[in-house]
Amino acid sequence: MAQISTNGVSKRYGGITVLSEIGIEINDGEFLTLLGPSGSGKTTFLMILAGFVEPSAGQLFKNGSDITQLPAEQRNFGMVFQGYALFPHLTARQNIDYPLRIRGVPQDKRRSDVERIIGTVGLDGHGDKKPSQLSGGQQQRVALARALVFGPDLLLLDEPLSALDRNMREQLQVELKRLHRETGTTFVFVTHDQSEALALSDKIAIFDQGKLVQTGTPETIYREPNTRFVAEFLGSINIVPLQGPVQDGSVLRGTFGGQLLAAPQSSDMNGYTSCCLAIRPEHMRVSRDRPQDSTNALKVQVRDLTYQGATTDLVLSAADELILTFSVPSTTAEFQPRAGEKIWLSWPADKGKVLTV
Amino acid sequence: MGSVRQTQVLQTVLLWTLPVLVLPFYIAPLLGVFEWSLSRPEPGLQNYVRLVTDGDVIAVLLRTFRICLLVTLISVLCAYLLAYHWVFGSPARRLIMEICIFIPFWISVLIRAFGWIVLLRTKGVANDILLFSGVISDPLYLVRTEFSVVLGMVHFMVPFAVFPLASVMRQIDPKILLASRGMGASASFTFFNAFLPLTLAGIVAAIIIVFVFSLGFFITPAVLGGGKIVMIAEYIYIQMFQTTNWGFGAALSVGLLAIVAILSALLFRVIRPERLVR
Ligand SMILES: Nc1ncnc2c1ncn2[C@@H]1O[C@H](COP(=O)(O)OP(=O)(O)OP(=O)(O)O)[C@@H](O)[C@H]1O
Ligand SMILES: [Mg+2]
Repeated sequence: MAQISTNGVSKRYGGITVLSEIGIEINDGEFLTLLGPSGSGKTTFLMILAGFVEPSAGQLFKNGSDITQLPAEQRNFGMVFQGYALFPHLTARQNIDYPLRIRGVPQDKRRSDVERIIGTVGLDGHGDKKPSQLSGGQQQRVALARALVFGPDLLLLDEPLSALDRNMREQLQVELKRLHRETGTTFVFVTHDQSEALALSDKIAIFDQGKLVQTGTPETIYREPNTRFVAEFLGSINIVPLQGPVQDGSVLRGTFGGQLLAAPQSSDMNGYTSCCLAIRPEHMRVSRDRPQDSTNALKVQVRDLTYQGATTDLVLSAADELILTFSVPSTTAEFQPRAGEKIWLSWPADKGKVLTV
Repeated sequence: MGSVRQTQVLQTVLLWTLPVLVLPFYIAPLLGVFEWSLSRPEPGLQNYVRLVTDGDVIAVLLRTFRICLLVTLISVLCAYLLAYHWVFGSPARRLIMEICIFIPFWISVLIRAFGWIVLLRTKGVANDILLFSGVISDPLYLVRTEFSVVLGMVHFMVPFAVFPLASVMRQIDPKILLASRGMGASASFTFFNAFLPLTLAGIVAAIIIVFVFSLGFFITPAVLGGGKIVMIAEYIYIQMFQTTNWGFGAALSVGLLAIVAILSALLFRVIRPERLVR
């Protein structure tokens, strides 16, 4: 049973719609990530879930009952704010104790609960420091502990890692996953970092300009993006426009730069005069001559090579000024392209994904 | 390099302006007053002995403290509410608050005191309204009472208390208050456990400013007290210019200065505002 769900949630500020018709199901114990570019409405949606912002339309349900009008203080949700929002006048321990004091938990239990969560988030020895004496990562841990200590039904996290440096971010990602596993709490996590979303989530919801464009597991969204926006937002992808698409059973054929290209397509393509073919770079390969075994191949020129250590990034130009990117292992014994060289880029037909929008 | 040289000269001039002005215009007269208190009418400590034994003086001092405490309490409370709405209110409310806070600054303290007399006197606007609406049947004697003095002083002091309070409130991250609510806190829990402690430094500053300022108030109690509610500053004035008791007036001034200094030092010691600011 879905623990939290929303139905047609919209938000308008003045005449501007910043969220339109968001419908989503958040299952019990799930790690859901709201992913989208800046200004796509992620924080607004999280604030609506938390009860800090009232939706202009739509409803929120918790275990089937309507909580749209329930004030934030009665929802029993934990929240980790962008920028932590710790109480500067209280020590780490007192910050974590705060929600327990609100609930009138007995002194003994409060003390043991606080100590336990301090251990869980790895803050041993820092309990008596004020937030200003803690590092960014430690402050983040206090914020997490404070939001989890009272056993919330839902934990909302607004870009909790964005202010941290890379090492700390990676370390905390691992710990977030562990906390999620250990507490069994439902997490709703906001980020605009796609690799963070892929690494952490059970389910990703992609936001674009106030709309929920796709929801699914990281694998589904990566493999089967619904739109060009989703395809380009999550991971790197090469997009090739197809002219004169013709459907032939479960295969779609079209041309680009005089080359016939094919991709699997099950739904009906009638009415489309043009569409795009999206291919993840990991499915592509380069060769000096046109490969015999592959139907999908493009002749490209190497524009630029960037050495990245383990791999070398190639910038390739195809017909019609189309730029494609690709990376090859730096140490491979086989074919190493050089700048300016004309080479062939190919991929198996079943790895292409047809995009109409 | 001429410009470096000029900068150095400018720095020196700016650095020394204040001490150079303070010395002849403040320290020197102060020492003069101190000297008077010990030498007039004849050398000795008799002026200071009178300070702590004269029943009149003690009565004036006690009245001054009582009024100042009351004024401080009321002003800081009003200012707290005003500052809250000024900082957290809607844009329209903020504008109204700004007008209410700044307009009194442009009106002279004398005019404001007389304004209160117009409002409060026996045939004044306040009595007219109360009589007309039937709340009272005989006019109230509001002028030349402690009530009118306190009212006039509060009216003057509130804006001064608003500024330190608004400044600490502006530093509060609104997300902190949201966080408190989100954890389930009621409005009063959030106020007493988050908002109040975070504004404590401003409260202390406002209390010190209002109390110290009130101790030396002259015009407002003189006009609204009408000679009946005499506070220490007016009492000093009477000693100096009406009874020409220069030495005793000077001793009172020195005593007032000492009280203000000790009180400020104590307040700072006890509450340590510098520790409250993060
Ligand atoms: N109180 C408000 N009044 C008017 N517009 C607002 C308000 N809050 C948010 N918006 C607008 O709503 C849109 C979505 O904002 P939101 O903060 O939800 O984006 P976001 O996805 O969290 O972005 P970011 O990744 O930068 O945090 C933005 O265009 C923003 O300007
Ligand atoms: Mg945001």
